[in-house]
Amino acid sequence: MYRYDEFDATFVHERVEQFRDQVARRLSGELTEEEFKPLRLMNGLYLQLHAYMLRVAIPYGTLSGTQMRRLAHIARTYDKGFGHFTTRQNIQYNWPTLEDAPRILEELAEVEMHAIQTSGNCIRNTTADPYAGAIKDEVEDPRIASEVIRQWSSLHPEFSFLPRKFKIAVTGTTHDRAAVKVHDIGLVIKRNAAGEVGFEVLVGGGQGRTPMIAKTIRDFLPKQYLLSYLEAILRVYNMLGRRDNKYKARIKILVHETGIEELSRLVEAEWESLSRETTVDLPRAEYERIAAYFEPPDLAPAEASSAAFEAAQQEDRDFRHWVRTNVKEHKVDGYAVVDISLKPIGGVPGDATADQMDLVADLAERYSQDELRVTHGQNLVLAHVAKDDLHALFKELAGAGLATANSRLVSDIIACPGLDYCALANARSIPIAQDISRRFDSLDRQFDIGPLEIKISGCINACGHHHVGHIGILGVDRKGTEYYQLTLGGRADENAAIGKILGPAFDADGVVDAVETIVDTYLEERRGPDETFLDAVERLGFQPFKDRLYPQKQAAA
Amino acid sequence: MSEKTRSKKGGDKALTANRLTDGVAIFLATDGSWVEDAREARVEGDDAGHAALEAAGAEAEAAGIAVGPYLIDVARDADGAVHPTRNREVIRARGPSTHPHHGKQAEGLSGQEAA
Amino acid sequence: MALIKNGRLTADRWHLYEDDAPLQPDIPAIVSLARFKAERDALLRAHADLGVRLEPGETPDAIADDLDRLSVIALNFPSFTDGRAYSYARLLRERHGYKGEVRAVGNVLRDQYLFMARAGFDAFEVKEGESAEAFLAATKAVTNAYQRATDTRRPIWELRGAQPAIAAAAE
Ligand code: SF4
Repeated sequence: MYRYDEFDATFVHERVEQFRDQVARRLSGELTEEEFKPLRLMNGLYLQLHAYMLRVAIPYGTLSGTQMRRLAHIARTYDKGFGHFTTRQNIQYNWPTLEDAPRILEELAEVEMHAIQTSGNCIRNTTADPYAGAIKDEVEDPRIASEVIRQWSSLHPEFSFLPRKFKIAVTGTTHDRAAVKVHDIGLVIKRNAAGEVGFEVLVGGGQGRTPMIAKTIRDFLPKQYLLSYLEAILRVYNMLGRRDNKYKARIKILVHETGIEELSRLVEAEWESLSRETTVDLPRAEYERIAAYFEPPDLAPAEASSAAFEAAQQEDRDFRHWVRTNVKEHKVDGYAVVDISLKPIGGVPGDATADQMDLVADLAERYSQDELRVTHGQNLVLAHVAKDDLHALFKELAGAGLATANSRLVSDIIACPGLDYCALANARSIPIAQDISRRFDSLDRQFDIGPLEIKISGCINACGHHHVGHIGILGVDRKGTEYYQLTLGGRADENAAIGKILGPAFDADGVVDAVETIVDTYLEERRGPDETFLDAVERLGFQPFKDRLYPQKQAAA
Repeated sequence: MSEKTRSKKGGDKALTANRLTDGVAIFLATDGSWVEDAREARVEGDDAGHAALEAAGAEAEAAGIAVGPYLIDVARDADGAVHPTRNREVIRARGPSTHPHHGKQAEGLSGQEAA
Repeated sequence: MALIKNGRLTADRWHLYEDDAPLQPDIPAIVSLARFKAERDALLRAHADLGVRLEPGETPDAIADDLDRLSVIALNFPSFTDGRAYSYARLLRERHGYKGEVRAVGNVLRDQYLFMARAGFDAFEVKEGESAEAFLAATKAVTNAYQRATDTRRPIWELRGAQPAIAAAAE
């Protein structure tokens, strides 16, 4: 994991002091809300329905036990004893006060964390594959590039007032767990024919009102030019991105309106010029200094198969189920990657109590090289667990309600905070997620259904990624009543696709039934258990689902 | 005022905002103070009354008490207590529906009985 | 409006002309890009000290050929949230090698001074009553920067003792 040196530490501490001064000026009346708002947003502080909300950055989703323990402490001291992990691999606190905010940031700075640029029209926290450094076939750990980007983008003097927010994601494998195709910039680490490491650069993906899949702007960028190339893209976007309409201000619209060929030409020309004028790229030594922090941990050699592990699976049925869903293969024999579900049946997706956070911090230290990950699916990951330890780990997690065996199953639902918290929401998201998860509480049924990702957003901003849900649910407001629109066929992986709307919206009760109808239709129509939900949707098209969901329409037709 | 907070034209209205220091949803009361309980909100039914509410809001904003004041549609229940009518404002006045022990509902404020 | 130049409160000798206002010769004048384009020759003849004001959307390219005859380029921030002028300032300095005054005008707020100074602005039209001390404090609030920009700050990666090696390869 990256560790701060004196420069990093001074930077975040000064930033805290700067914000303390800004808060004081706001409280004294020197700053108006209009002037203060962008300043607090640059420090992750929102004003929501019930209170302020603080979004803390978890760069590329990686945390140490100490950091997680501090997050628990903040939840306990300044909030109501819990936190909410988001689809941006961040954590949000729903109840901090403005007066406490500088103190919270100070507590974060002490453990090398911050809330810088978790909001506002700037370059946001860069996200990465949550299994980085632990899975096979990785060209390079994507967290190295992410950390390089984090530093470069922090208080960037040119790019802090962009037309709109700007999100970058990085993956180091061809199987994409970082949703790079629905980000403003997606980076796929790969090798060229000569074996050199670099990036495929994608641009213009995004969700929101006009969802789009990113296009490749450069097939191969040698890795030493990462920052200068990003600077060129950002400069072109800063100058040409639309500012007349906030729904047309993301770079995806610029890509769409300008065309990827023309935009690529502009970026390449800008890149060539700025490379002559200044030095943006890191020297090799600095890149390597950062990379050294992400060296794989020294894992004691172990047998590929562990007798204790096999035996425990024989004896303990719950453990066996959990292993089947939540344990993934590690690149080192005898080790595993563990998904910790924050989706208990009927729970709030992504919420964790302070006690749970403390426990997970301990477990990371004891079982996983002191390393934790937050996923964009709103779960946690222990990346390096010895197979021999899995059963003990499972039992401890189960004792705290953290061993739900549902990774990527139908009850592993992504949901944004929605109208229960969010000032922008049209409808509630969380209660829908809770109801659906209760409806599918039987594990046998979930196993039978297989991989199925449901994603729920409370408004078109799409923080719940509904556009890329296998089943997407979007909350809309109809004269003060909550309605929900269903989309089908979205996905966020390397074959990313935007789901399409199925038909008229349902009310809150109706939408849960509708989801069940869709699932039942799939189960009846599929060729067999090997045909996944997405495959079946692709083969069948929407008609069988529509026929079942809107029978009246059929009768009328 | 954003699209989300716009109330319909005419009818009974109250004035709400978030408190500067802690962001908590507050309502202008009949005695001119700001309270956390929507049931104590001052209600105005005509244009002049609405304008008076908005003027009080601008003043509270300038004084650094309230942030982003706006009018909400309200109604009175049988025993005369004020409650917001739009879903968003009901949740705002009450607290998150998914955490009944958080927010105003936990403190016996606004609309707990309706939850 | 007060003017802070090179970190000090300074009297502003410059006069910003509306497009329809008659020019008085020999008073240092800042005019809009449209007026500059329309009356370029006459303006350059009548004013030894001439400046042009660019709005967002008007890039420095539009005046690139005349930069050596312009003493001030004023970049307007109609709202502080419109950040195009940060790029323009850097381009003026780094691409066009402009050595004259780059002035921030419009909605210029204390919490943006640091970004502006780093992007190449050296003059700031600020709220009446703003002090030079507050200006300096704001530009010093964060000592070091992670990235190279137009100011003299060396980026943190350079301070860490690494050598800028790779730039050579780009040439
Ligand atoms: S999708 Fe809409 S409702 Fe949900 S968190 Fe984002 S802005 Fe709020």
